[in-house]
Amino acid sequence: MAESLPHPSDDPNERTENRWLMTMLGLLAVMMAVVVATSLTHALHPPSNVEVIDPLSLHLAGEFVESNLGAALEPDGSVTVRMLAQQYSFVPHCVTVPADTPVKFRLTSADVVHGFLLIDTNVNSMVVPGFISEVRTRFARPGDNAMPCHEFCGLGHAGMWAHVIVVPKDQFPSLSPRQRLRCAAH
Amino acid sequence: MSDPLSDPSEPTTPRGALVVAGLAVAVLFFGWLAFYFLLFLPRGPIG
Repeated sequence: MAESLPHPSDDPNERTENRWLMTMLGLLAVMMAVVVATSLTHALHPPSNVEVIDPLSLHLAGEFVESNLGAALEPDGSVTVRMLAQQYSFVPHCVTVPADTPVKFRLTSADVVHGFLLIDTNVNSMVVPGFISEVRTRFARPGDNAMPCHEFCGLGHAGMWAHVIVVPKDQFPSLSPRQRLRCAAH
Repeated sequence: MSDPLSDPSEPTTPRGALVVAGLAVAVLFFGWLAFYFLLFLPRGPIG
């Protein structure tokens, strides 16, 4: 049986398909090489923080009590933003952070699964009750960045937005903790 | 070269299909590169 079939290389269609396959494999190899090379040179990796927290006592004690929410300047010059996600708002609704500074977002949920993304950055994370979502980023320029909930969380989901207001780096230290929660531009 | 329509026993390379498929793949490939280098990387690393 096999002897009666023509050799694959004799069939122009088969040769074309083989060449096409090699071309596609080559393109895939190029894309993989680009991803691996830029991941190594830019230190790209997905957020992998696993930290648990009791969602029933968030408001009573610990990191996510109301007085501790918002943007806090760390001793190393970086900024930590702590927010609570709940049906249907982020608390606080607005936070102010400096431009060109490492910013660490720490969020947790008080009720159901939420999510958040930050326009103009690659930040995009789920916020799951019982866990703390931690994502680090850096804002290149001042502006008002919308921060929507992107995980359907109920009837009011579409109105669940926060704002991250990015101010020039030298302006941030002069703002009081209260001013850092203002929604109006500084 | 014989006409493949009049002579089905003569297989030929489907050049038109190759051009269409090549253009489609080229658009996707260079589109992916453009999104990766012009959008994804400028938005900075996360972690």
